Amino acid sequence: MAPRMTLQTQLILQALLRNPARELYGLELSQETGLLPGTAYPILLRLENQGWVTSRWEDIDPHAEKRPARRYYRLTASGAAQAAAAIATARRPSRLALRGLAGEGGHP
Amino acid sequence: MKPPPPSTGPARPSRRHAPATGRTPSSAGRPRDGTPRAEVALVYIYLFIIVICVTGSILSSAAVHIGFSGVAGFVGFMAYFRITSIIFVKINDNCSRRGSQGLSGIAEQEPGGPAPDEVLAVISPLARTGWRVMRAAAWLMPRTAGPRWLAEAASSLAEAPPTQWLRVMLSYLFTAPEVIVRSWAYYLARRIRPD
Repeated sequence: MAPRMTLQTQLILQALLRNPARELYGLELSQETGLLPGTAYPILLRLENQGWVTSRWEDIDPHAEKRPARRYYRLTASGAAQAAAAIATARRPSRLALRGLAGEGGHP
Repeated sequence: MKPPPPSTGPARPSRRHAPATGRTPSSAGRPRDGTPRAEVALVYIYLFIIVICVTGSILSSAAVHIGFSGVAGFVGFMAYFRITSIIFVKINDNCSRRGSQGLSGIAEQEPGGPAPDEVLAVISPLARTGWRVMRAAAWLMPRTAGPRWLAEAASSLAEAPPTQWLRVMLSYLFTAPEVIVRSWAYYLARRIRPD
């Protein structure tokens, strides 16, 4: 079953589709989409549960790097194809909705 | 007279003689994990709101369909609060059995996760309180989902500019009920249909 194509879901899929082989972490995704990381998380969880997205923890020593490990997300092969098809058929977001999203100001 | 049953190994030590675990006993005014009472109260209020929202929405939608009223409505209302309190006790028991040391230990369970104490050391007192509330929300999620959610939030907080910490934290808190419901639904679906 395909996930619900909300505006936020479309934005996340578009960001991941720009380079399907590239892995993005939560904050990077939020900077690319304009969503706050907490808003993006349940969407990524939903996409992962559907098998569209796969994720992994960054392999670092948090103490040596002095920052926590990042969780990287990328589209699966089947997920990329399904996402591209879903975005092509999804309803285009209205200008008003996009302006509202810009108002969320999620550029941490 | 019936003979005593044969011994099958070393006798199980009684609880009274159990070895010390190294934990400090709780002191007056503070729970065992050292969290101030006011913050624990805040956490429990938040948990209560989440459980009320989730179960309340399920029950109210059911009540609309059944047409609850009068005595049946009252009994249903009381049963709802009884069930809510049982859920709380069960969740608390599970958390303790996992060895997570209640609210404070859950973030350390994620193997790839961050060192939350280092994050906590740099964030503001207000954000620190928010972090405790987030730990409480993570506590309501299934075994793997909670620590992962918390670890990701800590990762985002650690790299976000200080002016954005509160907004990032609130974004996680506002979507916490959805993550709780979704992760439990996924967890139960996996339990029922493992493939």
